[in-house]
Amino acid sequence: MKYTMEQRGDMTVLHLAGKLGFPKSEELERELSSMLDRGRKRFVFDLSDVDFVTSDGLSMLLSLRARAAPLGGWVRIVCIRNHPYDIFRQTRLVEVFEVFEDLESALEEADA
Amino acid sequence: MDWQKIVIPSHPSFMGVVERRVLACLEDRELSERQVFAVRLALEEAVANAIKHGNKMDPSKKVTIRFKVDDDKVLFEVSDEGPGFDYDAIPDPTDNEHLELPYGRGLLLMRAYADQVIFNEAGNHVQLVMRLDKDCVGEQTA
Repeated sequence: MKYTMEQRGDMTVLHLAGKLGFPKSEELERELSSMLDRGRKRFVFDLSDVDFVTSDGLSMLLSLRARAAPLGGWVRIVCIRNHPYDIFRQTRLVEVFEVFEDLESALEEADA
Repeated sequence: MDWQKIVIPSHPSFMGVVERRVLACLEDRELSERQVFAVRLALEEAVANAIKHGNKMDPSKKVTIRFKVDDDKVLFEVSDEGPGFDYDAIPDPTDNEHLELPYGRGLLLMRAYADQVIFNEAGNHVQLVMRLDKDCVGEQTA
């Protein structure tokens, strides 16, 4: 899996590409952990270029959410493609994560 | 088609080898995108479980994958060298009380995307059956 990261105000936006699954990206997990340690707690994952999601990918997102939430933070998901969206639906995680159709909507809602 | 066999070390870098070999055998079936996704997902969850949980990521331990493509279905058998597990004891991750737990969805996804998931008694061998004569995979309830 490839990713890029950018800061938009107090939000960290991660653009992922390829497969979100096994093996997990240790580099990404280290960066996210470092972000949390530095007080970053709002994360937006852009999945528009992710074509495959497995349970390990969901695990990474949920673990981050579990760490961010007690700090008053959150994890939002943007642009899930058809088949990956089925994964979120099958697992009912569309009820756990806020899912947006596009990045700007996710960022606007945070500003509101 | 006869049964095909692949044996890999318990390391995630070998997952791609398995996927490519399986998908190559399915090329002439002209599967839909959804069917290909379902095959990839169910197989990956089974192999990942064998590597991570069955063999504890020990590269000296092997995962054996056997598969066979029939006219109307594809069968997979995934075995690890671990002691197995109680697959009936895995909590349903779609239950409200488990919904936010960051683990436990591999089995759910296997069952959602394969038509049959059959474990041996120990739980270190699983058979997946995926029908190729329908395109509604991924729409089954968990």
